[in-house]
Amino acid sequence: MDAQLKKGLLEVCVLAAIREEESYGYKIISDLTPYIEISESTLYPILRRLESGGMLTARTEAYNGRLRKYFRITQLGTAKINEFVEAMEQFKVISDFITRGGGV
Amino acid sequence: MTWKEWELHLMEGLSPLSLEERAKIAEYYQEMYGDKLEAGISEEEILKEFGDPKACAQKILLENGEEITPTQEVKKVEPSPTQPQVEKQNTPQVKKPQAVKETVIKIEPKKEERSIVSRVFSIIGFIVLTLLSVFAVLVLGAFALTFACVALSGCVYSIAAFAYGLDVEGTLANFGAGLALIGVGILLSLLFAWLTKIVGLGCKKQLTSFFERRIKA
Repeated sequence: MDAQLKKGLLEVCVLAAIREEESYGYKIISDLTPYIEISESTLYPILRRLESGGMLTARTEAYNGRLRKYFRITQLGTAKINEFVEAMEQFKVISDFITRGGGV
Repeated sequence: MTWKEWELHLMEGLSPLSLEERAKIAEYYQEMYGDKLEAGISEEEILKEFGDPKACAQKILLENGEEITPTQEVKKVEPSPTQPQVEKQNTPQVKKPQAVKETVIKIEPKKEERSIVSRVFSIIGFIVLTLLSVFAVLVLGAFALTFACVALSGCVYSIAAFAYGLDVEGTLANFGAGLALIGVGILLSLLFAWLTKIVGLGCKKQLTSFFERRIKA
């Protein structure tokens, strides 16, 4: 998959992983792995970017005697997912056109 | 390699980042490590999944927009096929937030390293400018002192000549010229004092910043 396309896709995937309820790093990776390849060193910059972009917020909480950071989606993050879904619908039309070989 | 060694190598690789940012990344990996351990994965397997620490660091730096030298190519971290899936029933339940603590991740831009050549030139330039400034100030000071001495001697001579009844008109003119020279001398002295202060402060500022840079480096 194209690196840039995957980068954008991963951001939306991370947002989708925390859409229903807040989540933490390991769980996000575990939830996404069946669908898309993502490593720890890939996730960190994505979380940082999404947080600085106001698409998610983070809070640190003690868990089993250690710290764990939980991420929660914001309205901006939800809007980003919706925007992606709309774009995908348009891509689907284009994809069908390409698949048909350009014929009407 | 142990976990502590892995962490140490990662931090070494992240040295271009600020201490604050490195601490956040360390916390991130500590959390990941703890979660994987709890999921029953061995230390060896976790480190295998994390991949090469230097490659992880480079990947993070690359994502942060840091420049990487051509010799430091990013190695692709392949996820292990043995990575376990988190089953819903085994997943630790996420606690409801008790006290929401917002955190903002901030990246400090990497400061450009100055080359040795530019440092040597700046030091040479600083020394030359300092010597020139000191020389100029000293010359001005010497002028001021000379004016003052000549004027003082002229005045003393005029008073003496006037007392002995010598050439009255000439001595009066001499006295006037002496007073004028004293005025010029005072003005030059003031200028000398002001310039000394400026040069002194400039030297102090340059030296301070130079030593601060050395300490930071």
